[in-house]
Amino acid sequence: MTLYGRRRFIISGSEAPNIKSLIDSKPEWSASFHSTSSCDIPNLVYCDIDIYDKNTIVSVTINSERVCSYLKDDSWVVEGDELKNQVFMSPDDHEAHLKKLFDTNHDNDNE
Amino acid sequence: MAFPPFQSGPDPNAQSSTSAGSGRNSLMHQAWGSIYSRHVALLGGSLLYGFNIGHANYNYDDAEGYFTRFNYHHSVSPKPFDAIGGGGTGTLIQKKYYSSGLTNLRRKNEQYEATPAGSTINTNGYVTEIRNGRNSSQEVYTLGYHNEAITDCVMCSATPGSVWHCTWYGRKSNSSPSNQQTVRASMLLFSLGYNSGTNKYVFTHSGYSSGGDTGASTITSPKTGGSYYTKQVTLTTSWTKYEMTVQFPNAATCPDIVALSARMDVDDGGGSGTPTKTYWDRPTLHLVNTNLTDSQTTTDISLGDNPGGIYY
Repeated sequence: MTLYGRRRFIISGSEAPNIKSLIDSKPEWSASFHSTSSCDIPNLVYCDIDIYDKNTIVSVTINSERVCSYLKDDSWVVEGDELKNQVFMSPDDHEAHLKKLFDTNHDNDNE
Repeated sequence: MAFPPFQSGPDPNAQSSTSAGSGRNSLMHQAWGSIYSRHVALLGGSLLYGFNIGHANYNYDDAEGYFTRFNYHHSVSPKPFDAIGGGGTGTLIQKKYYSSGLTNLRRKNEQYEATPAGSTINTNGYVTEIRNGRNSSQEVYTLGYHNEAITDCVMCSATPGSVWHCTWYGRKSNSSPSNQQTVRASMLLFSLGYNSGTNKYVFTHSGYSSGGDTGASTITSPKTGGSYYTKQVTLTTSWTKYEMTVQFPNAATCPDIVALSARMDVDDGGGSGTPTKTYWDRPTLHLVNTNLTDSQTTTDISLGDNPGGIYY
């Protein structure tokens, strides 16, 4: 079967069995569950649901414990974890960064 | 360890594994962005592309989720956040650029208006500035949240019973009069119905009611009881994160909910032609209770019309 795509949700551990039983009843869909502890998020589960048949209806409402966004570069932002995303630049990138700032008109930042 | 990347399988219709609209970049989590859309996170794709909304092939979300940014579209000011109501000398809404000092967040690169906007994690970037030239306890507010056409109002699709999580960072100016007085600000979320007679989206749909202030609602304990909500905060001169989670009524109470809009208020002006200044950074909006029922289309490769509907 063709894998059409995947959707991801961060859920509580107690909800995982309910989702699994629903998804397991539809062979065209599958769900895998992983601890978020490896992503520095304690005590939750992220659930990847794979869809192999776009015409199959699976009636399930998933209540997210955390919300996340998918980005164009295939990375994810988990709401509330922004401060962990520290930025480190190479010297060349930093120089370009400074030039960009220098070239950009802006107001008094401290106002 | 970073959150694992998206690893969808190949799509037989994909132009390439990384092209926009490929299977690899479809079926994303909840929201989609478009370099052409007036509603960055409006459910786009081919379903609405025919109405000049969204882009047929861009369907990834960004750190903002469904929340529309103030200006993201070349020289065209996107609605709803391009005009402000309430009056007052000096009242305005505009972008403001910070070269430093912002909270280290991922946000869209709105400074590159001539090119497709990406997003980066940084302490510089554009935020939204709202000034209130009225008196204390008199509000100004962003327009385009009610009784507007879809291109001027709607932020994204919504359904009865849906739960939404909204966050933003806010502060007030260090300069007078903002630093000398109380400056309150509010975020409002409205469920919308569609009036086919006027072709407008309104929050005064059947069964509408105010849910009041959301208080200390959380993602696991949303505020309930209304079809629109507000969260009022008292700003400080430091960047502070605020959040609200709300649930719209079910279909028995509000059967006509089809969309969602937002409004930003500044509730205290400086008076005497010296407006208060407030700054709003990186608003986000995400659907919490995602419904996977809306998961099929047999004849059209398009997005389902429910929030969280699946995009092919």
